[in-house]
Amino acid sequence: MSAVELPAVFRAFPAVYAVGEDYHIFIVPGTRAVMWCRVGDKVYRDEANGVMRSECPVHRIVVPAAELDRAGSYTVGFRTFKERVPYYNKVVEEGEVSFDFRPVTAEDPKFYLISDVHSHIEAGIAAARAFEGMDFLIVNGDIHNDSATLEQMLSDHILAGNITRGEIPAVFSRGNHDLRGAWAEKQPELAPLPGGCSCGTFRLGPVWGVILDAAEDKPDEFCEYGGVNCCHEFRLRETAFLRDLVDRKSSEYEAPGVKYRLAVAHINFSEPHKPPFDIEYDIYAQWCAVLREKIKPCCCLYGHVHRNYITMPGTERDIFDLGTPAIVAGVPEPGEQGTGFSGAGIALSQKAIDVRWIDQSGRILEEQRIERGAKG
Amino acid sequence: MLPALPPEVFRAPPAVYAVGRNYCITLIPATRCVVWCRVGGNTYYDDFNGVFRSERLVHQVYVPADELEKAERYTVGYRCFAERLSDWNKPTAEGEVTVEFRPVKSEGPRFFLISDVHGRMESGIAAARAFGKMDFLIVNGDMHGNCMTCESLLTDHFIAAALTRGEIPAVFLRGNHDMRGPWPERVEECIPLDGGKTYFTFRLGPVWGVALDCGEIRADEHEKHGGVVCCHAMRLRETQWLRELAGRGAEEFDAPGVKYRLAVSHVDFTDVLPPPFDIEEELYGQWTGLLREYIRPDCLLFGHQHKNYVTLPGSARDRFGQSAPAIVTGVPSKTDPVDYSAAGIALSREFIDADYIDQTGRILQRVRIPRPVYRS
Repeated sequence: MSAVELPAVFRAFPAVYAVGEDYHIFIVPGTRAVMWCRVGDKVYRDEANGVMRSECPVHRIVVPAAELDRAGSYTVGFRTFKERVPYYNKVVEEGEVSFDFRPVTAEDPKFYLISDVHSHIEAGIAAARAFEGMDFLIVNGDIHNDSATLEQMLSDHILAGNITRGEIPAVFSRGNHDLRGAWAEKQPELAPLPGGCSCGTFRLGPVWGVILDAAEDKPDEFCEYGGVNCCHEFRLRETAFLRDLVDRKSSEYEAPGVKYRLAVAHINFSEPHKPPFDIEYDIYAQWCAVLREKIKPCCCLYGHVHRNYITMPGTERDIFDLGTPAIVAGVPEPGEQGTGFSGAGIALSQKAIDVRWIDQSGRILEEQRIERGAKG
Repeated sequence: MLPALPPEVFRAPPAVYAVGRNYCITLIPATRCVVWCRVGGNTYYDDFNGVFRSERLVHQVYVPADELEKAERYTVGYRCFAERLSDWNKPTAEGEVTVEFRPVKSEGPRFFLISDVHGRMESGIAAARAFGKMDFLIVNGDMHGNCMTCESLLTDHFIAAALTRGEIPAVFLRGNHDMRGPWPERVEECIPLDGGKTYFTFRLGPVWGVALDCGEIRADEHEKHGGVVCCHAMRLRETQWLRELAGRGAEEFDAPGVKYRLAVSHVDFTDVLPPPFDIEEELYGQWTGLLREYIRPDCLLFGHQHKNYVTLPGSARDRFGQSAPAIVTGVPSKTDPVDYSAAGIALSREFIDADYIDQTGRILQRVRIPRPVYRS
């Protein structure tokens, strides 16, 4: 990893998220600033229809993935202000910082699957960084406990930035705890979402992926929510998105160069749940059918249940016939420093998927190999 | 008459903005609440991927234009909360109110073009009301002095709501003063946008329109801005969008039933302007050319100058060869803190009639413009 020194305007390293055909470069600012990004000879800005943003808790700069992959580096520019006024804004400091960037080019890529950190941010960072040589990171929800404060929302990007150092890409997927609290509705401004939607696709070299969002884990009418969710309607829209995705397969999962297909979701929707979590079986069965019959991912990646395990197709937990192994990871637990965490380091190859569950001390808790095409 | 929205929940009636193929129903809450709209048998939510929004300056519910035009009414639903919690939210009130809606059907539609109110809200409302019956309203920017406070962003909606009561449609455009201060970058959560863009088309019965946004009036590098705007890049994107629009005539300005075409912009970009406002000669020349060669509006509608006048094609003020007469309006008096005037406009087969009216109802000037030859 590089020895880039971050100026005070950065609270953490940038996080470079793969979203559709773009990267969303996220920077958590330490002070009021406008920001831009140079990739090759082009400049991209964090702006709202010509107005450069300075009053935002996180900066987002969208750059075409193909350009950044080709350039192999990017430069973040900033201009700081004490206050934002209608006229004669006074610049306090102006500068640029360059970052190397390594797009995913490995034939057999490695990635870390992190979820359910539940605010044990340092433990999550340590566990992921203990998995050496990763090509990308998947941030799979519930990094914080709830969305009651802005700081919790920002912790996702601080974690992703400090794991990747802005040098390798990441993928973002929303967890059910991300839906809880006053800041949950601000996620379009605060998270890398394609067109504001928390489901979508990504492409990282030979890897193509679909992100599915089961949203909350209980019915919209459940008394715990008090009528602030309308997730059923959202899941219906998401089902339509998944069907539409099949129609676009030649530019998505059947695009030239795709060797590995992943399906990512925070909630393990293909598995059985006890009441009141046993919701949307009809919709989830439809999702599984589309995955099994059309998209055919090499594995599904889940979090949510705070356990590390694999569900093989055809086994007792595969209630909707997913047709592919499900790797479940992300366990917040008591550790030596009072809080701990373990997630999964995953290596893809043509023959097998190798999974290592690693904790914050770097200890490998368990290793498992899934032969490609194996059934339970 | 149907019951009004409860004042303890909403600060004003709704404003229903036409944008693209949708109406954006906008509501200013007086208290923390979540909002939805029922149109015919369908329900639409102010939500983010399944999370109802409650922490907003304004609520926005996008509904398909054809559905609302068919139903001719919509029902606003709300649920109030004392606070937004992570779990166990407690509604304090819930209700629904139905609003009648009159889509534009008239063969000779009338509308009021309001801009540059610059905080004289009551005068602006009085001038528009003095025009009498209107079929729709165009809110053409600079309703306030700047965006130093969130309340200033709401001025536009208060004016639109007072004049339309959510019963007739409105069109919203941004002015250059709407870009000044710390709040403009949050414009996306407060104003109707088409896919995040402040430039778009609209359709209101026999009227088709294109809304253009020039952004700021000086070069991005001008010291008055202090490096917080990047309008040139936006105008380049807008130029590309306008080119694409010119090629989609069959579904836009040449669509069945279109009898009147309008081009609206806050800044009078076709006009001769002195330094430092004489910017973007090449781009504005291209915009004017695309309007002249392809879109061929019946008239151009501008504000910004704080004067009421008409510029005819080929006249001394016609900088680029405009295709149609430009009606410029929106005058806050320099000497009187109350005085304000703007234009009520009536479209007919042969003429465009503009009445410049002040807040007392006095008609300051009447202008009759023959419709361009190619439209008669």
